[in-house]
Amino acid sequence: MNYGGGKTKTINIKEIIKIVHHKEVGDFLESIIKLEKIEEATCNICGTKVTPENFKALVRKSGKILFCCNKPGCYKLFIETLRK
Amino acid sequence: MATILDILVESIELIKKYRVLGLVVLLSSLVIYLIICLLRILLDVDKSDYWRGRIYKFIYKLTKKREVEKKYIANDITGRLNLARRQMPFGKESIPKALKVEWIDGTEGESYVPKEGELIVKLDSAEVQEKNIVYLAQALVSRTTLIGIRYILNEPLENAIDLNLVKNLLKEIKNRTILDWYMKYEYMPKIDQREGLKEWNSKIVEIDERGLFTRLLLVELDNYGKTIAGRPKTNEMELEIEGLIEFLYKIATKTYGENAPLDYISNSIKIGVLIVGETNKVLFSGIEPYIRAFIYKLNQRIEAIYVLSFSKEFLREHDEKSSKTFEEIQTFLHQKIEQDFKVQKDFELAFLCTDVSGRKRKAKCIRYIPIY
Repeated sequence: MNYGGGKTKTINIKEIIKIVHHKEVGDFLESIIKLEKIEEATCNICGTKVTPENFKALVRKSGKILFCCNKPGCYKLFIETLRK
Repeated sequence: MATILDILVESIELIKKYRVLGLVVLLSSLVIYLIICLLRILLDVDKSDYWRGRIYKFIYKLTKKREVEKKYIANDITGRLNLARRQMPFGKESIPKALKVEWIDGTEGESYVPKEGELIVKLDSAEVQEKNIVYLAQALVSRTTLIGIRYILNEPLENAIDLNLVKNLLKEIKNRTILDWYMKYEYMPKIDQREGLKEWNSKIVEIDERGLFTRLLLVELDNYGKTIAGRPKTNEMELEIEGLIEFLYKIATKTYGENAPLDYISNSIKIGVLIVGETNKVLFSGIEPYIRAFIYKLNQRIEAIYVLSFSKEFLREHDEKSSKTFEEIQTFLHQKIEQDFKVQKDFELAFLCTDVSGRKRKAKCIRYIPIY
């Protein structure tokens, strides 16, 4: 018997998360800002200006692009706000 | 179980005795064994990802090429997290959902347009892969667990559940560097910083240590989510969930001989628990008290009955005969339940847990759904 956790059913539906390489984030951010006609990308949690250096994540919510910087705590809160 | 040394000694003796023929037999066995291992990896998508990740890591160390680094990062993350989640049983399924990561090629001339709800995360270099794994584990847990009830949970409780789910997921990766990084930079600071979180967290940790977090609490929360789907949040809903956690916490912290409520009946949650763990009760009274308790729960129209059994590892050392009888009585109890009552066995999970005294115990959790 497997005491690691028991017999479980494998579910094929996967959660897809897009990832971007830290060295390619500059071009990626530039294209998003241009395409979405964003004047200035700011962190949705702390309000700091988001640059390729401090960018951590983004999501489209209700049509709007929300950015998150890499400050300790911002990513956690950003992920939490997405749950609602 | 044969050790490597035993196998080596046997192999040398085989070669000495049969010379060339012995060597041929030995090499053939080795090739067959390697083919079986390879097939097992190839047929398992998560294991394939993990091993591909290891191969790309090796190539990346030699070449330092970005494309190889990206393949290493993606395969390593999905392989490790998906293998880990398979060790987290959530009723008949696993929690959280399986993960698939897709690179966005930032160097391409074409722009990428994010779809509604799509999360895009920047990952750091392969040198800090433990951070990458933690970031994606957090996102995965937040996005694929507690579906349908997040709007009811109070924030500290929701965070306590998420923190422990991520911790358990990372623990199953069996890499102490990753777990240590998470505990030091994410788990502990969050608990220390936030009011109310500490209290809920300590309760969730106790429930988890008895093995009842993913196997019972989350299963019931998921069912609750289905029951109340589409209803606006009320104070009563919040109290029902908090009451369920308090109920399980009392069971989780119950010491030997101490009484704790074993039924939880609210408007939308009606569950009962049978604990088969007291040696004296099982050995001297047999299954009768448990059958009576089961009937009592059925009379109360309980919707799910959990039978939790804990083995007596320490009993075997002192009295092997009693230990055997104890195991037999437990098996007999389940046979009797399935024979005599109109119940459907929803799932049966065997696991290892820690009891209130800190001893490691083998345990079993069986969920029965009565048919009325």
